[in-house]
Amino acid sequence: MTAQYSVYALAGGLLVGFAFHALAIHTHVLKRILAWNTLGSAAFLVFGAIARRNTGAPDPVPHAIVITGIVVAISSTALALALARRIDEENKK
Amino acid sequence: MVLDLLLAASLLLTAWRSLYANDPLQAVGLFVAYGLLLALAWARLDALDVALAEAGIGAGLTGALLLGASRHAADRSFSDRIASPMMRAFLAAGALSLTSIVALALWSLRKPRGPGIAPLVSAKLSESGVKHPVTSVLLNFRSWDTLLEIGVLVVAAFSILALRLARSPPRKYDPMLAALVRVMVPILGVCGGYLLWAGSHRPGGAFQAGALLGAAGVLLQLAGYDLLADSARRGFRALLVVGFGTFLCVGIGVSTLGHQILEYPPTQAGSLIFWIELVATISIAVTLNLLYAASGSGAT
Repeated sequence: MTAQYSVYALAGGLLVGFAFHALAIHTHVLKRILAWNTLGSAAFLVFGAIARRNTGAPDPVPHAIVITGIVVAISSTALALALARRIDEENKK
Repeated sequence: MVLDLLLAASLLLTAWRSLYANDPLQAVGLFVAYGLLLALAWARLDALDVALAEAGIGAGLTGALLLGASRHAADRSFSDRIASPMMRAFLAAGALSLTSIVALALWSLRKPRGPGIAPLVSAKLSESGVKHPVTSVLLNFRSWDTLLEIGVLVVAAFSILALRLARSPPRKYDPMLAALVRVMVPILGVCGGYLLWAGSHRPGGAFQAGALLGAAGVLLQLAGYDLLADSARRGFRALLVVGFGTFLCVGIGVSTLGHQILEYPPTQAGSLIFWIELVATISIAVTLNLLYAASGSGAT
């Protein structure tokens, strides 16, 4: 279990770094929304790795909360995309 | 172990390529690939519920939203970055230190910590009304989180409606697509119903089922169904809130019977959870469709 924890926790940590950098350095709105999503999923992966630290069965509580998080992430993504589209519509007028 | 290492390496590679791609379509395509690999990682971590949700919602539907948006993104310079060298150096240093802090913190947690709270969940499982631990946490032990999350979906849906987006021009009739839709939509409906039912005793549940039914709706939209045109109807708006409303009414209803809010009586918990999940699935599917319609995917 520890080996698996280390692999996915480390991958999650690196992904957080990549996504943060991409989020901060790019100026295009779609790129930022994409990086924001990757940042979220990397945080979920870290959470999933931590759920695996248990001896025996993995912890169901982080799993349930990550499912919640995935749904919140798509809601925020869709709202961000809709706002971006609305801004485009305004600019074209 | 080798599989885990390969999977982690491919995750990093696809994420890197997606985040720094110069072409919007390439970036979104790689993001979907990353999401599917992430679903495999979740399966390796023994989290099949999360794997299903990640594949369906995180990779599939989010990918569809981004794909629609990527077609409008091509006119502006997609790979523009902050120009100032000092700012770039500062951001690189910031990202590096963030990664180091996260990695160090996680490294210090590497020792196994005993059984955690999993035994507590399995000990109380018989009182929850369902036989699957993750569903028991989602719909019973931590139903506050789930209630508020469905609330987030409602807020997102009504914020999008408030933006009053322009409707896309109707699509051209595509006989191939229409044939595919006629085959796929019933299959997706049956699979969604199965996942909803399966959630009570094995991986599955309202969110995974809602994602599949949502996918069926996305296919219908691709084949020409104009959802934004229907979104002004009262019946449509009722479907958006019925999941949250039912959940809230049940939560408050049990409190009038001498329980805490959202504390289901163990004998009725199973059927209460079933009805909440059934209604929530409908709301989730309709909301996901509205999110898709608003992302501009319909425009050609």
